[in-house]
Amino acid sequence: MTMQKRKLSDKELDAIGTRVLAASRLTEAEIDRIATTPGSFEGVLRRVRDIDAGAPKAGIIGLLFAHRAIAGTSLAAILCFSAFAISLQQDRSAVVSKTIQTPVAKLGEARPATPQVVYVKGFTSGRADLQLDVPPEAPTVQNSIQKEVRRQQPRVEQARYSPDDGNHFVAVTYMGDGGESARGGRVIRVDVPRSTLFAMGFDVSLENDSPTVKADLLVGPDGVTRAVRLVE
Amino acid sequence: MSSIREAFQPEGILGYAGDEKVISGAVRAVRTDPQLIELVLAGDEYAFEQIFDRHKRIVARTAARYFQRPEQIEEIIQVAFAKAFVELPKFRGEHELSLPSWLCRIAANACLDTLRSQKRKPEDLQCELSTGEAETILDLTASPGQSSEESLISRDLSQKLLAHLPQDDRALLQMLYVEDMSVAEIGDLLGWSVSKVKIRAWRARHSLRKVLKKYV
Repeated sequence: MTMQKRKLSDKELDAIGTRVLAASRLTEAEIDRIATTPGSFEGVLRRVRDIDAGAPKAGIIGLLFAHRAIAGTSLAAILCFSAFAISLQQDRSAVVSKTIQTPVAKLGEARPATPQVVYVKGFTSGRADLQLDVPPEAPTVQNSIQKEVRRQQPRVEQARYSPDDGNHFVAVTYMGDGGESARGGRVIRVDVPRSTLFAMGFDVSLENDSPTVKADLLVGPDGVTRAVRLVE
Repeated sequence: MSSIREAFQPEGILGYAGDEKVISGAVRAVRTDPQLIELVLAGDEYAFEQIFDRHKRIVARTAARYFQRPEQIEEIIQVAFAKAFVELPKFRGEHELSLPSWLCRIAANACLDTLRSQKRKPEDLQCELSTGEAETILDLTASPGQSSEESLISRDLSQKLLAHLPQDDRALLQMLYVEDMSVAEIGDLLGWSVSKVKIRAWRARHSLRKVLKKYV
């Protein structure tokens, strides 16, 4: 027997659906018979006893899970804090150089007639090669700074700027405490007017198209510039 | 008040005299639900049995919307009353029907929990309906006066057809269209908002139409 599929509207389908739903129901008598099954209340009491017996167990399991959650959260917090501290440490030491040289200043002279140029090679290495006219044992400011630097042995990190660009830091005259330079500092890249560089004693031509020149300033912890390096 | 009492009047009760009922000439005090709850909370197990006897039918009726097999309905009755016993200290009844409606909500939630666990480990097999069976359903459900045999056949076939519909959708449609419950009443029973009931009913009706279009 085959049946042709009819085209039924939604209203007709709903009517059929309601009839099918009504037909699938259990009768009241059947529901009553199920509800009055003997031994049903004993089953309830048995389930209550099971719930009562299971409650402390569930509590202990919950406590175990809570401990694990607390331990996991603490571990994650410690890891995050360590990672943050390490990144901070790296940021602070990335541009610090310990090889700061200042020119020899004679007493009674505010500014030397010609600034003494000190070349610092190997900017990133732990020990810089100095090319000075003065003997190494002479009681100069440089020697005292070098000694202090060697005694403190601060951690030296890789500098951001490559030392292979052919230029070197040139120290500018500084009358303050030279030992301060060894305690830290940072390198800042700036655009310096050509006239300023010329006034500082750098050999730059004034007749050029660019009014400024890129330069790295070695700034001490007190904010005073210690040395200058031309980038280009 | 009297209509509510009549609705929940157990068998064998001849009439009410104030707060007392007359059973075959003997007068015995009838305790109200709040009184029975007080006794249960005081540790009276017999009072809980009275609550069980009084409300087991309405809980069974709720379970029968979701399940057809007697053992499933019986299990839901037991689970619902066990949960009610454990949660009874938290119950705050404010009107006469609050205990039955609270029990019905527990039963409905127990049904939904059982359906959820069945989804994780499906046991029921869905059988395809033959064209002849679909024709029989249409014929039998269309005729008003049916013999007991015919009604059994139409129920089996209807259940076979409705097996393609999620059970919670089927129960919702049954409450809405067969039992003529209002959206607000269904919301109260299931703890849903009115809009949620409407949306679920629309989806369920759509699913039922799809099933009927496929087989009828």
